[in-house]
Amino acid sequence: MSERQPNALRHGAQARPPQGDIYLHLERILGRRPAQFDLLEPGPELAAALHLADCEARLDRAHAHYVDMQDVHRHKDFDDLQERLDDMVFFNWITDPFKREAAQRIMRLERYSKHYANYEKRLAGRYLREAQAKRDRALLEYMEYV
Amino acid sequence: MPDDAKKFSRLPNPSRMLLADECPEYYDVLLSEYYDDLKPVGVLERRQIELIVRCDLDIDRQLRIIAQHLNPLEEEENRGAQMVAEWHLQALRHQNAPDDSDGEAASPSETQYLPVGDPRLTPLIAKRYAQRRELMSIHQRELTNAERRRRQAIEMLFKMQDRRRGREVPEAEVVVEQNV
Repeated sequence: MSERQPNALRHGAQARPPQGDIYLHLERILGRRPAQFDLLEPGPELAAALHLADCEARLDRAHAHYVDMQDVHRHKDFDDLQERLDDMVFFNWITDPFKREAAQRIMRLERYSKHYANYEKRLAGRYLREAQAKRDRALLEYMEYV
Repeated sequence: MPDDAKKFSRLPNPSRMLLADECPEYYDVLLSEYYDDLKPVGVLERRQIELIVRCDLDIDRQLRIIAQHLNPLEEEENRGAQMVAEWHLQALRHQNAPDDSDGEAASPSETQYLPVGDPRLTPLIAKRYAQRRELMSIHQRELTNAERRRRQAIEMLFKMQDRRRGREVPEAEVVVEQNV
């Protein structure tokens, strides 16, 4: 697998989940609140539980993103550009018929909006599959200790 | 359903995993039925059931979305074409004509439901399928993936339950008879 770009690790569906979500999952997995001291130098069992909690929180985030994307059929940025272009057409500088024609042609490029929405939908599915596979591996690892 | 399971089933908030047309109460009912059926013990098994329920919902969702996209009575949204049409209308309008663009906004077209089992609609549905081939392939792939995830989650749950039951069985003692 190719290496992820750093911005993909920091933003969006693949960003690191909030600490609070990870600790909630950790508490749930361990059945108790872990002491701060234990977290400084976790033993192998706690380390496996921490990794599982992290993977669970990431899976939830990937799943939420995946569900959000199921209802998106157009790309937001493209729609925004269309709106701006629509406004600009009514300005004076675009009285040139060639420019006006060009603007109209750009407006007809609807398929790109749908294409990028579909691309993001596919990407959300891939993120979910990856998060699920990582979580399943982390679970198997943790099960060695329980 | 165990008491703590009720609390933990709200983690994460299930509505984060649901679309606007899906009901959190149905999610809870489904979860409760799975708990009754599969009798999970411990948080790990209960979490596994949550993931199975999510897959079930996703399978329903994908089928619903596919059916909606193939609805030949639904109007296809094309915002660019709508804007261009508005420009042309503006250009054709007489300068002294009253401007009604600020008046009532066009009401969004309501979803029309198909009559059930009408074979005359098949060509229209096929045409809609051809128009939205890319979208169809995405949702059909997601449907297959959701079914696979569900199968794997159930398999994992059974594995966890087998391990738990295996630990409950006391270790066997090897008895060697002296006279043999």
